Amino acid sequence: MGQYLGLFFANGVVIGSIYALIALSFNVIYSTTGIINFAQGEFVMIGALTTAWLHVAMHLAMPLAILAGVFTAAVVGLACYLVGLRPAKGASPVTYIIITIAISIILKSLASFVWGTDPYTLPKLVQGGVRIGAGEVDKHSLLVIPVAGMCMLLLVLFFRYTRVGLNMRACAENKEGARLCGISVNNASAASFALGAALAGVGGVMITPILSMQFDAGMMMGIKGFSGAILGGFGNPIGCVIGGLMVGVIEQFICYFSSGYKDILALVIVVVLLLLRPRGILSR
Amino acid sequence: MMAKYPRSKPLWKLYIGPMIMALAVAAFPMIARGDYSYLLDLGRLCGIYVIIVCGLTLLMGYTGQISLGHAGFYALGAYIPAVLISAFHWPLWAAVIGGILGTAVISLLIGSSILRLQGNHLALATLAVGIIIGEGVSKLAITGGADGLFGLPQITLFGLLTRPEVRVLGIKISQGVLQLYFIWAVVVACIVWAVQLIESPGGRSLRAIHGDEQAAESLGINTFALKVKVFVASCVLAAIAGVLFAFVHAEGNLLPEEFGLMMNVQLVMMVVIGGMGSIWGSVAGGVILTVLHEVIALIGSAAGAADTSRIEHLIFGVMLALILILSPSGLIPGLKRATTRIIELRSK
Repeated sequence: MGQYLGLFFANGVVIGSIYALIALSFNVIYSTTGIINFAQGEFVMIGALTTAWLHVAMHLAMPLAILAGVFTAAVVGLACYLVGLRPAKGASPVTYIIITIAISIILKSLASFVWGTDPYTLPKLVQGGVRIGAGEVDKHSLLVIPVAGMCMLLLVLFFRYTRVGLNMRACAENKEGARLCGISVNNASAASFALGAALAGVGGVMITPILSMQFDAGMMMGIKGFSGAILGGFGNPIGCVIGGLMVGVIEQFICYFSSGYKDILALVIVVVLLLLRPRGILSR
Repeated sequence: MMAKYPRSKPLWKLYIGPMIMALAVAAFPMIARGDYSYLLDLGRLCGIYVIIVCGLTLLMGYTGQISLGHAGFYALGAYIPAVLISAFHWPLWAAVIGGILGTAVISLLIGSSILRLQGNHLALATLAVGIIIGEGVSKLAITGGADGLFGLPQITLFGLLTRPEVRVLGIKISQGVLQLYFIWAVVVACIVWAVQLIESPGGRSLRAIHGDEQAAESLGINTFALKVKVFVASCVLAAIAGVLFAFVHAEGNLLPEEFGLMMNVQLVMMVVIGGMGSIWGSVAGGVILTVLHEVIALIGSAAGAADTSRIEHLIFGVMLALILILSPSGLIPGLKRATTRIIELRSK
């Protein structure tokens, strides 16, 4: 196993940085609205499938397809909030969770009607590979890490310097207070859904050339991202990134032993960590 | 102990519901026409789901603890005895007892650890448990993997259920009807137990936890122990349903599809549709969703669609979202409110 250690680690960081983006997208929505969105994985799938469909079937140029895919995910996210969650205002957290599960089922079956049930892939952005230990990692995969890093940087800038970002942070801090300052909590929540869905969509676009994507892959993506967010601790963006990376790395090392049980064992570890550190691994 | 507390309802009121239900089920085969065996099949499946949903309602509706993983315990109830029989050659009765006890022990271990979590964390943990068990039985070699287990013995009730027909007081009762009666007898027993529990001091403590856990704790209720008890009880009900599914309904052929990710969601949906705070709502929810599933499949096959599962998920999802948005207390209470409102408007 020794000579493959580096390879597993590299792959883990690649997949993990995508999970980290999804975890962050959970966090963006959660901190602003207090809603855990179980449909988050469907935004990953919608971003990925829109891009893949536009590029592969409609022959749209890659950059345009990616933009369109991320934009579609954002619009769907916004629509979900406006149609599904805003009307249920004041419901209990359990009700919100079940509504987002309902949304997830609806989006999944709609996607299967729009794009069919076959898996889609995207061509890799860069060809070739890099030797790590006894194995080789795609250059494309390695590109994922800086792209994810850049998204996170943009996110930091967004939350620090734009009016919408500051409004969202104010809502996360104290909803009543934000309202008293003339901030529309409704608009900030809507914006958080659009932004969260867009982030998830970016994650989907990046993972599609590596793992391929189909209409029912969203749920598992969402659970992985959610696990990352919970491991890192909700409300803590740095924790979410670390949690996402951890889920990715753990999963890749499990793959070495048995790829069939990858999802099961990853979830077992998540549950155990959840029990040991319910507030996240960074908590004291 | 219990006699010290006043009951909030007289005894006859508690038991009139289960009795009416028992009579309705007894009459069902006499009223049912058309594709007879198909309807019996549907009736048996309804009963099995009602048992799980009954337990899940106690947990979610009364105690306020979400579980997105009960399909896992349903699977354990079916698979533990099946594995004990196929791999270890246990006799059926021992395997069934072993399966229910095994599920109880496993759910006690899982419940006593994950029920310390709350809200969103609990939702993730239970969903993870459900997926772990569901994926596990579809992958492990000992459970037959995706091919499932075949040729398991069936529950015969001392040979009663194997006869093609039985005569009682001059009325012929066929095998399928007897199986239906057997399943619904278990359903009625479960509901009597649940109704009994809810009206007892213990049931009031459960509702206290739902209302405000800290306040309940301060009143001297051991909320954690009670939550674990309800969790284990609901898992045991799910296991009983699993046994009935594997050894009565599925006639000894067990496939992992029944216990997939969607089943977790479907069970929660049954609880929500019926109304989270009532046992009778859970009966309604279980029956409505099972019947709806068959209706969609029938319409789909009449329209020539090969696979109706995707359109079914779409309909279920829209239904669930609409109910939660329009009437979070469930379909039945929502309809009740709507009708009283209409009556009020008419009388004005």
